[in-house]
Amino acid sequence: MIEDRVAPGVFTADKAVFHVPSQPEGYVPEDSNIASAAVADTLFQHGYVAAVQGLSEVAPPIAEVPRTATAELASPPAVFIDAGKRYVKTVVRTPHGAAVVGTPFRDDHVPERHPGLEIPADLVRANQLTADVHQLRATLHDPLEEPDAGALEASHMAHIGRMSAERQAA
Amino acid sequence: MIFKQLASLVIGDTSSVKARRAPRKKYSERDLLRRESLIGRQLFGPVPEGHQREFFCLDDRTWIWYERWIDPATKRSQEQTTRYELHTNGVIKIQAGYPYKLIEGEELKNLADAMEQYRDRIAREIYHRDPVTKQPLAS
Repeated sequence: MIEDRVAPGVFTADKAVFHVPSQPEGYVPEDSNIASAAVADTLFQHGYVAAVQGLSEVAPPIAEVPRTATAELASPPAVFIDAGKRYVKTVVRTPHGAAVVGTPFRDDHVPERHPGLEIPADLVRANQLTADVHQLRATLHDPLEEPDAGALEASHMAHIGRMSAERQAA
Repeated sequence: MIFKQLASLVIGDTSSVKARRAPRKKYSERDLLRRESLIGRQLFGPVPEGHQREFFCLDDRTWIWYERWIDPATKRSQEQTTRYELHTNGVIKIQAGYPYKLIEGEELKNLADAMEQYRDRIAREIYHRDPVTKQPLAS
C-alpha cells in the first residue's frame, strides 16, 4: 500500500513523500519537462516541499521551502500505480536535501502541454470520433434492455437451488 | 487482469454472433459493443489463425484492443489488452507490463484513422446512419 510509505502527517492529500522509490509500473512522459512543471506547480502551490535525508529514509520535514525557492527536479517524473491509484512521482532536490515527492495523478498532469503548443489535429479528431460513436450508439441503446441485476440474481439462485435439489436426490 | 476481465465481460464469447444487419430495435450497451467489435476487429487486416481480436470503443474516453492467441512454443494461451485513454490533451496507451505511453505522431494518426473507419462502418452497418450528419440512411 502506498500509504505505508507515506510519511504520516507530513503532507496534505495533494502530495506525499515515499520512503523508497517503489517498483515503477509507469512511464516517463516523453516530454518530461512538461510533467516536471506539473509536479513543481503542485509543490509550489502548497508553498513548501519536504526534505528528507535520503531516498531510503524519511525524516521529518527539515524546513519549509518558500514558494520562491528553487527546487531542482533530479529525475524525470514518472507515473506509478499503487493500490489502484496513480501517482506522479519525482525526485526533488532542495537546499535542504533530496526528496522523493509524489502527487496524485490528475488528468492535467499528463499529458499537459506547454502553453501555446498546438494540440495535434489527430487528437482533436480522435476525441470527435469518440463522441460520434457515442452519439450513434445512443440511437439504438435502450437502458431498459440492460440486464436486470435482480433477475440475474434470481436466476442464479434458482440454478443453485436446482443443483442442491439434484445433489440431495442423488 | 482487470483488462482481461473487462474484455471478457464486455465482449464475452462472440463466436456465435453473426455480423448481420441489426433489426431496428433497441439494445443493451453490451450488445451494441459486441456488434461494433465485430467490425472493429476487421480494421487491422486479417486476424491470424488461432487469434481472437477485439477492437471497440468502451466509453466516452476509452478504446480497447484485445488480442488472444496460442503461443506456438508453449502451447499456452496468451493475451494482450491495450487500453487507449483519451484526455483533452493527449492519448495514453496502457498495456499491462509495459510503461504507459503518451502516443503521438504516426501512432496517434494510425489510431485516429482506425477510429474513423470504425465510426464510418458502424454508422452505416449497425446504426444505418450517415457517419457525419448522423441522419438515418435512406433504406
